[in-house]
Amino acid sequence: MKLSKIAEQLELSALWFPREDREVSLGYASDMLSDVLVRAPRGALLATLQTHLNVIAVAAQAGLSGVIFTNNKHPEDRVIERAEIEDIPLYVTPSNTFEIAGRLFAIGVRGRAS
Amino acid sequence: MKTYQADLHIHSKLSPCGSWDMTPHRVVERAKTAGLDLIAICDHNAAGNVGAFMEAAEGTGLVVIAGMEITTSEEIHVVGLFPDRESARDVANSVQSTLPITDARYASRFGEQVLMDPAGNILGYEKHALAMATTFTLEETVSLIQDRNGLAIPAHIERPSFSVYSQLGDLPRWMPFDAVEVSPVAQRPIGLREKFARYGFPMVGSSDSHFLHEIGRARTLMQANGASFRELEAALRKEEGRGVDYA
Repeated sequence: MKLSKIAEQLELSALWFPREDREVSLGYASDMLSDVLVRAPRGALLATLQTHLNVIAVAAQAGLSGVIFTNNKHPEDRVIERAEIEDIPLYVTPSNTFEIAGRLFAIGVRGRAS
Repeated sequence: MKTYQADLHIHSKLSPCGSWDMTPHRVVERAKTAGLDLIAICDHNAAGNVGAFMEAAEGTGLVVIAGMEITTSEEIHVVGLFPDRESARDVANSVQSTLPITDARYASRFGEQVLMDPAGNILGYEKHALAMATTFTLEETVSLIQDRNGLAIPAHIERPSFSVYSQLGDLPRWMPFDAVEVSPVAQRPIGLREKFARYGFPMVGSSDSHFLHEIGRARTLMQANGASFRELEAALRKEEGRGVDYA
């Protein structure tokens, strides 16, 4: 499914979105950056509470397709600026990580490639 | 007995997030200008530049302590301060053995990890991914530091990221921390520092400088008989009228 479509269905607010849309079929939820780096599948959309600048570096390194900040956790501006440089779309939602993971799963996003 | 001013948490360019200005001679010069007597060089999971800073400070009256900021498996930052550079080096080797090796794109995302001589000339680049978490838990990290006669100090305890507060929700008061570090410049929930003050650990103030202008913006005021690791240790233990405060 296209990322823009997922964002629409889950009512995610975009903090930054690139011109080119992308196909997303995988997701991951974690607040531990070391865990994301090692275990998130490439291309996954990440749901997390972590808003530290390192989220963007880890997302780029792990080849993630985007990041959703849950519980209305807004990152600082420099995080968004860094995401633009690294081409990582960013969203924020008032929902918690459990709810977002459940809704992603319900529309067909999976935790690992089949 | 007199009051000595210390900034016990300063990064060099060995830390990927450190600024290129954080070279030994410039940091020493800035620390002297800021009126500091004692500094500790604490790079992320590494101590490879400590010797260069000690040499750069020779003859200036500034004392440099070998330190390190270890990232635990819970992603908590813990400062370790050591009696000598060999202890710091051994602990660095232990923690680095659990870190991944950098790839070609790492430096552009996290920053260069530069080993320098006292004048700031580049000697090489650290290959371990210092920005990552080690596999040592908080308790294991404290033991690792203290087994080498080091001082274990959880860093910036009231900050919203990489702190005991952010990762565990509280400061584990049963743990044998030698002190806890506060960052008078950090954003924090109201009352948090006051709450942690009641836990009874000695509190040190450190700048966590990544840029030159940040050096000394927070500091530890040490009542002691000299500026040295041993005097700092004695001040944290309140030996014979010694003590610490922060500003």
